Formats: sequence, C-alpha cells, structure tokens
Amino acid sequence: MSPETLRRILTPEPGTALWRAKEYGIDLTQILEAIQMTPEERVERALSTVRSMVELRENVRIRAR
Amino acid sequence: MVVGGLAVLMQGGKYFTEDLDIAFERTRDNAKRIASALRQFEPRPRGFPPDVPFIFDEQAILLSQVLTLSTTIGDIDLLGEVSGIGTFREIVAQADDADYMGIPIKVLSVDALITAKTAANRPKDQPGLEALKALRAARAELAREEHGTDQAAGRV
Repeated sequence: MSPETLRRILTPEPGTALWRAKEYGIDLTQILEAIQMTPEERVERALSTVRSMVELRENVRIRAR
Repeated sequence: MVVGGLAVLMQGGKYFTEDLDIAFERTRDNAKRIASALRQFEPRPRGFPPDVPFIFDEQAILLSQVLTLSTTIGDIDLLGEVSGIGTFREIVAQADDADYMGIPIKVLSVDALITAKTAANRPKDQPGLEALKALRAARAELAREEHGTDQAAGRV
C-alpha cells in the first residue's frame, strides 16, 4: 500500500465517505487493518475479542459502594 | 450463502453477532441438504417449548421464508429472502466469493449489506452500517491504487 493511499484512508479529506465515517466515530485504523486480513483472520479476531471479554467478565468482581 | 452479521464480520466490519444467517434457494433439494447437514446439531425453532416435538426436515425448512433455529452450536437463521434485496437469486447476484478454512463460500457483498442494513433501518445496525460504508470507501482507495479504478474485485 502506498503512503498516499495510506494517507487518503487514515486522514481523509472532509466530505468524503471515509471522513464521514471518522466523524461518526469509526476507527479508520481498524478499517485499514480489516481490509488487509482474510475472512478467517477477521472472524478469528472477533472470536478472540469475545473470548477475552468472557474471561474478563468471569474474573471481574464489582465491589458495591 | 453467508449474510447478516457474520457476513459483515467476514467483510471486515466490527460487528457483534450471536447467530449465523444463511440465505438459500428455496428448493426441496436444497432444503433436504440443509436438513441433512444440520440435523446432528439438534435444531429447534427458537422459543419453541422444549417439550413440544419438532421434526427438522425439508418440510419444516420450506414452511416459512425465515426459520430461526437454536442448535447445539448456536443460533442459525435460514433465510429465503433478505429485506432490501429480495429472494436468493437477487441475493446471490450480489455475492462475493471467499475461501473459509479451504472451503469456497459466498458472502453477501459490502454494497448489498449496506442496502440490506439500510432497508432494515434498525438502530443496532447503525455502527455496523457506518463501518461498512468506511470499508467500501477504503477498498475503493486500495482498488484505485492497484487497478486505477475504484471498483473492488468482488472477492472478500
């Protein structure tokens, strides 16, 4: 990927679709990462996140005030 | 063919989905194949009382356009149509080809996912919809660099 393409994706011009996405709150670094992954890698990344969240939920104890 | 939340995931969107949505052409032959493939996972309609007998066969699959199932491997939805797109023939015309664990599959394209999510108009889909639009734009930038056109190839 050329530096120019990288720049156009990560620091989009105002008014472009990527700019609107960034304004909405979409993390363009994650979009950039995603387009360079295979479908298996994307699914595995999601599964890994879910496993981490499940582990966190099972091990966190919120103390009542 | 993979549609819905898993299709969004496979295309690169961050989307939490709790079920597998599969679109299929509603033929008796296809329904028999699906029944044969899924029977081992003990599918039952979601929300069905556990003590009510249910026979999972091609007739059960063809009874409705959308069949939502609980199985031992999670929830699976069998769809004969997708809102905003239409029946299987319209859906598959907007499929991208992909390989998943060495198996060729079809996944609903980013453009079609945007159409479907827009048609569904559910608040929970909004973040995924915005991510899909960003994906489409980012892929267009990549295609512009690789091919001199902003049309992505049609593969996931």
